[in-house]
Order: sequence, then structure tokens, then C-alpha cells
Amino acid sequence: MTETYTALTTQPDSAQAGMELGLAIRKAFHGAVPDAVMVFASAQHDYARLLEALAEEAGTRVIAGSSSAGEFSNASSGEGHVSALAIRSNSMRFSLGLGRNLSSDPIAAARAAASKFSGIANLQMPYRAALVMTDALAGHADAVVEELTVATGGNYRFFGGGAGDDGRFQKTHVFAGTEAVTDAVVSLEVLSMQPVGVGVSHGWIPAGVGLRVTEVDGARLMSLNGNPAVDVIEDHARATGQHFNRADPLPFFLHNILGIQSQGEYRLRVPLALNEDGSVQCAAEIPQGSIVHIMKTTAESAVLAAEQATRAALGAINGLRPGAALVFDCVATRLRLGRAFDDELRACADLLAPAGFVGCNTYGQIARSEGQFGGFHNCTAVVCVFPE
Amino acid sequence: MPQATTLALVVGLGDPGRRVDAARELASRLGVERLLLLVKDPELGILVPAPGFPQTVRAGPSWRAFIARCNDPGRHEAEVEFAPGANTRALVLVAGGLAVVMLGGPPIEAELAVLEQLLPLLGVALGAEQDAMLSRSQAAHAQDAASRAHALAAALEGARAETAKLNIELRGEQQRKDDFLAMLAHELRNPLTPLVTAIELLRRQRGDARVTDRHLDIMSRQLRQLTRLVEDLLDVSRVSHGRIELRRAPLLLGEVLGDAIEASRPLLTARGHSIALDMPDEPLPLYADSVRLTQVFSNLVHNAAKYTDSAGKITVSVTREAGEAVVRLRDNGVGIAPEMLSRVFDLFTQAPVSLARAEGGLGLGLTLVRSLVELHGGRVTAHSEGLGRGSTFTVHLPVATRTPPDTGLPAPDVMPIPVGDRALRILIVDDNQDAADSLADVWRLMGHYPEVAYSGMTALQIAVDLQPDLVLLDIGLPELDGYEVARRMRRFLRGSARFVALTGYGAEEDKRRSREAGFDEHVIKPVSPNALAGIAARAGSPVRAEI
Repeated sequence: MTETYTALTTQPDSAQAGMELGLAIRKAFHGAVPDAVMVFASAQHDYARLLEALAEEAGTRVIAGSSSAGEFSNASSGEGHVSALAIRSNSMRFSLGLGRNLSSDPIAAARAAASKFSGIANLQMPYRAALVMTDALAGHADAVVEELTVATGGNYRFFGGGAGDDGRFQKTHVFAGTEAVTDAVVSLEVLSMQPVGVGVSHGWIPAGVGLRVTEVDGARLMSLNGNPAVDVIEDHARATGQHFNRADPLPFFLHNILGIQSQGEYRLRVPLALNEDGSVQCAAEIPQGSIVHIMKTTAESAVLAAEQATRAALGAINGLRPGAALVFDCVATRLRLGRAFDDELRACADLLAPAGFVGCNTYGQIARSEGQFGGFHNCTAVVCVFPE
Repeated sequence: MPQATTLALVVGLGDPGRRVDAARELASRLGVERLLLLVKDPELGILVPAPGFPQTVRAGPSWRAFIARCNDPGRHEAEVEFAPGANTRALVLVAGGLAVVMLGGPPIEAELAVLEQLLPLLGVALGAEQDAMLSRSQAAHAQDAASRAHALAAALEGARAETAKLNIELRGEQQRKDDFLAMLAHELRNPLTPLVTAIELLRRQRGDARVTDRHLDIMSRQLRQLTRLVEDLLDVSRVSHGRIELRRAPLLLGEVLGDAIEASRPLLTARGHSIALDMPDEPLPLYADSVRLTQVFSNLVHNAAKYTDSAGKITVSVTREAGEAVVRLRDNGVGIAPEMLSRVFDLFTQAPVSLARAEGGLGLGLTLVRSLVELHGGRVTAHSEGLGRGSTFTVHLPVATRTPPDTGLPAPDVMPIPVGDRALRILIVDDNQDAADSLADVWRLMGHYPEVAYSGMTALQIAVDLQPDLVLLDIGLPELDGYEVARRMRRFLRGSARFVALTGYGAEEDKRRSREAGFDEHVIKPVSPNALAGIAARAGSPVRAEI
């Protein structure tokens, strides 16, 4: 039997918020201790006080999560909150891992995060998954997911994302136990007797012709078709009747992102900022010589993508009833959609009901299923469903 | 010879190492300010900077628009904003997938003619170079992907090997489980046969007190054996689910060992074994669960007795080593084969020795020993020189810092059935009808008025009329569980009844759940008559007499 409890608190005092969540979890489990808690907190919170109080009241230190850029549940959404999913199950086992020094040695960090995984040796729990949250600003999220894939022999599904900080892009944290850590990746291994469903989808389509990446330095895009990237973007804005302000490009970037053409699909890269030299800072690396498109979406297609991700996750639990879910979506999606973001959440809620969900807006999303190698995405909805 | 120089410079454009310098010199030769080379992108059909030239051209929108128009072969000319705020004349020669951009000017026509003649050839060279550059980039990505795929394949291979190994282990475990189930069926059938016989004889020979007593003795003995089997199974289940909680208290190791040997005395005597206990002079205090620790040593002594031929020697020696109490239990029995040594503590593992079967058992003893010792922060190892050469089991336990006080209390004895002072209305709710009915019989013997319900819904209906003083609720009821029944009943009984949860689970979290649901007590099955008397007393009916 798997018991789940989802909660979102608007309590601004961090210790109080942690205490309230912990008490609510214990009450929901009739006083019993949860096996694991996944928690996502706004940058307005004092993470140490929040996590300490949560651990104290919930009675467990098996806590994984991250700072976030918007928190939500099936009942409400907003900024400055804390969302949490607690699980107590006799058909699941949880194990916490933490890898440090992500920016200097992402491979070692990923290996450390996976070092306590015991899934392959656990015959009783054949379904293996892990929540993976990375310090987004430390970079290397792609490499982390790839190394985790190698370290686990491709036997795990990963879900999660890059930690946020309310859209400030200054400092992001991951949570491991009562510790809030920067420059790190946290993992929560979920071994289960039943499948854990992971679904992923984005609603973006190309808004124009392909553009050759003629100069790039990691995630800093210098030129497209031999012209400064910013000029190309400005030309696109003009051609499509959109407003683009170099001094404040974010509103444009929320509606126009880049899609790297790759085997008939588009790997999304969200532009974050304009550099002084006219280069565009993206959330993740873009390969030199690749072809990219400027991508567009609508509120309807974002809702459709969330629905598709939810349906895919539900379809992956082999007809079992959903107990609870985690939903991750890009901070850009929430900022772009504004109030319409609630439509996306409502779409997830309708499909998952009566199961509840919690989640947060992240800086990049992680969703890797069997058969895939990479699994780091941008501007994408990721849904993870835990069966009853 | 001016044209020969132009020719050399154009040839220089084909050399990646000299290209930028050659372009600068050629611009001067042509009489223009600047010369750039663009090549046609093979996939997109657009002009991009040729290899070797800066890959980012910082110019105005008119430049980008003009270059976008320069797709057709021939000459293209326009005023463009190449540098910020200043328009420049641009002439573009397009041929063979190559574009030569001349800024400023106009160029000297004679030199231009030479360039124009060589352009197709240069275009082939630079186009090939551009293709190679893109191919290199794609090859780098492909190589990267191949290297990742190789790493993944290697990891998969490792995982596959691990899985294959686990499959073999799984098959072994499956075999052991099959063997175990066969043995379990046999062990359960053994006591059932005399029970069935005794019941049948009791039915046919009613009234003969001696026959009745004899058969009741048989039934009682066989039930104890069945209970022990079930207890062992439950213990293993609790241990494997981490649900055993130790009730630790200060105690002395010597007392525990004494109790354990006494518990095994019937088997030791039956086999004619001698047992010697060698204790140090100083007492060895432990902070441990006396019941569980007695279980550990009694299992080890029992095991030694089982696996040793008649009139064997068993010694138990105790020493204190580095802050630990070390108990070595040696026998001169059948010993352990080397290949079995590492697995003797594993679940469902039993030595294939016929002697063991003579005494029965499920082979769970050593699994419990290891789990219980580890729960106490200790460890246990097995050693044997081989088959026929006896075995030694060594248990290490942490020594406590203080010696426990002597309570002087005698062990509790079996109590007769107590009779209550005031007859209580009792509602027993259990979907196991035999369990509910037999419990009701005991309550009747104690002078109370029990009613029985086999489901939560029936219980709610009965409770309305009965208005019970005491409600005994099984937790694991179908449909409405015990927690829910208690919650609903509380609403209309308004605190007049005392609620007792009856359950097989006794962990602290189970008790907390009962409290949360409004139960006054949490009692673990099976419940003895004296425990029932305590429950009745707390419900307002203290013991009046005993029968």
C-alpha cells in the first residue's frame, strides 16, 4: 500500500512553514513517519530553518528537493510558497544521494549522487526511478543526466529539474536532508514494486527557417548565419510583428526560444539574457555548426503539452490508479502564460483526479526514460505519477 | 606583372593559413577597402562567412538584407551599413557557391576580371572546405554521441552481467523457497494430525475425564508447536520489514544465557547432550531486550542440539574483549560445509542433513539470530572446520556501562481466568469468526455480556442498541477498517465506551495510529485472560474472583 500526501503552504515564516508541513504530513499518515518527502521552496525562504522544522515534525531526514521559481499544487499556485509531496509505502524504498562540486566536476558529482542507488540488486523492487534536482546555475545538467544514465546502466527513469530562485538567476540550491546546498545535485532513488510513470512534452513549433550556429561558446550564442545572434532575433521580431527591447529582452524570450534540430525533433534551449557583446546567454549548451529554429507556442499548446505529459505518465503506470504526482514546468512558461498557467495546472489536475499533485517551476527540466541517453530539457512539462 | 600577382593572391585565398592576409592584400590590389569571402551553406542555401574569416559579421540590417539577396550567380551591388552609422558601397561576385564581397571601391575592373575567372575554382575549394568544416563539427557530435553510446553500452553490459548473476541467485532463492514451502507444509501438518485425531476422539468419548485431559494435553502441546512455527514466521516477516522494536532495559548477560539454556533444556535432555557455561567473574551488563536476546541464544543452543549426534558436548564460553561481550557457542556436531558457511544466516537456508528433520523447524532460527543481534548493535559469525568437525557461533554484543539493579521479582506465572466485579456490555468486532466467538466465550466465563460482529457495518448497527461499555475492534477489517469503525462509533457513543484496538502489529507507529483514531488502548494479539482482566478493570470492572 502506498500513502501519499500533497501540500502547499503560503506561510512566509520558514520554520513555521516547515513545522506546518511536517505536522500535516504526520496527521495525514495517522501519526506515522513518511518514508520520504520531496519539497520545493521559494527563494524567499530560509531553507535551513524550513528543512530543519520539516524534518523534526515529519520525523524523517529522507528529504529531497530544491529551491524553485514558483510553487503549485492541484489546488493553488503562486510565488513565495513551499510545496511538498510525502510518501509512505510498503512497496517502495527511497534512498538519498548528494553530489557536490557540480561546476568543477559534474561527472564525479553525478556519480556521488548515484552512489547509494541499489536498484539493480533489488529483485523485489523492479521499477527504478529517481528524482534528480540540480543547481541550475552551476550548469552541466546535460552531463549530469548522461552520467547518471551511464552509472545506472540505463536502468532508471529520471525526473526533476534545475533549481530556481524566483527568477532572480542569482543563487539556486538543492535540498538533501536538512541541508540546502549550492553547486550540487541531489537524487532521491525510488525503487518500487509498481511502475512510476514519467511523461514529458512541450508545445513549441518552429516559427521560421533554420539558422546555422556559426559561433558559440557553450551556452553563449554569438552568431547565427554569420550575423550577431541578437541581430537575427531582432530581425525575427520585426518580421513577425513582435516587440523586442534589447534593454529588457525577457518578455520576448518568454515567447521565443530556440529549438536545436535533432533527428526530427527539437531540443529546446531557453534564452536567458543578452550579453554586452550581443551574444545570447542560453540555459544550456548549443552545439557549434548545428541548425536551430526560433520557436513559438501558444497558451493552448502549453495546456496541450501538459495534458500530453500527464497522459503519458498515467499511461506508464500500467492501468494502476494514480496516488499522487509531481509536476515540473519551466519558469518561462509560468511567466509567459501568467494567469493562464493555472489552465495548464487545471488540465493536469483534471486528468490526475482524484489524485493530487504538487510541483514547481524550474530552470530546465529533467525527464529520462529507458532507451534515452540525455534527458535535460527546457520549456517542457514533466509529470511523474506515483501509483496508489 | 600585375595580373600574375592578383592570381597569386587569389590562390592565397584558397590556403586557410594565408587566407585573411591574402584577402587584405587582394582588397588593396583591387582598390577596395575590404574583402570578405562567403560560402553557400550546403543545407540551408544561404551565404555564411567562409572558414578562416570571422564567423560573426557585425553590420547593419541593410547588410543582412543585401547578403540574403545575393543568391544568384553574377554581380550584386548595393549601399550597405557595414560599420555602424556609415553606408559603404558593396559589390558581391557570386559564382560556384562562393561570394566575394568588396567593400568600398569601386574595384579596378582589370583585376576584378582575373578574380571573376578564378572564382568558380576557388568556390569549389572553399565549398569543400566548408563541407569539411561542417562534417568535422557533425563528426565531432557523432563521435561524442558514439562515445556516450559506447559508455552506455558498457554500463548496460555491466548491468546485464549483474542481472544475470542476480537471476542465478534468484533461481537459487526460488529453489530454497520451494523447499521451504514444502517443509512448512510438512511442519504444519505434523501437529495438525494429532489435533484432528484428538478432536475426533473427544467428540466420540464425551464424559471420560481422563481421556479428555489426555487429549486436551495433546492438543495444547501441538498448538504450542503450531504457535511457535507461526511466531517464527511472523518474526522473520517483522525483521525483514524492519518492524521489530526492541524493548531495551539494563540486564546481565549471564541471566540471559541461563534462561536460553533452560529454554532448550528439554531438547538437550532428550538428546543426552551435556552443556557447559563458562562465565567470567565480572558481571557483563547489557542494555538489551531480554526476550529477544534470550531468543537469540536459545536458537543457537537449540541449533547446536539439533545438529549434534546424541550425547554431544556443547560449551558456551563468555569473555569480555575490547568493550564487547563475546559469546562463543561450540558443539561437536555435524559441522558446516565450507560452501554453506557464508549462507547459514540467509533466509530459507537449511543444511541438508536428515538429523535436523528429526526435530523439525523451519530453518529460520539463524536468520532471526543475525537480525536480532544486529538490531542490538552486535554481530554474529559462524565457523566450522568442515563437515563432521563441529561448529562455533560467536556473538559480539556491546557491553553497557552500568550493572542493572536486581529487581528480585519472580517470573510471572500463568494466571487463572479472572471474574469481573461488574458485568460489562462488550462488543467484539473481528472478521475472523472463530477468533471473535472464542474471545466472546472467554468474556462470558469472566461474567460479562459480549456481542459479536463480523464486519464494521454490522458492528455499527449492533452498537446503536447495545450501547457497549467496551468495544474490542480488530483493525484489519474489510471495507470499513477498525480505525474508521472507531471514528464513526465514537460519534454516537459519545465517550461512554472504552475502545480497544486488537491487532497483530505492535510497532510504535501502529500504536500512534490507534491513538489518532480515538482508541483508548492498543493490544497485540493473542490476548491472554489476565490481559483481558486488565482491559475490563480499566473499563470499570475490576477482578472479583478467579476461576
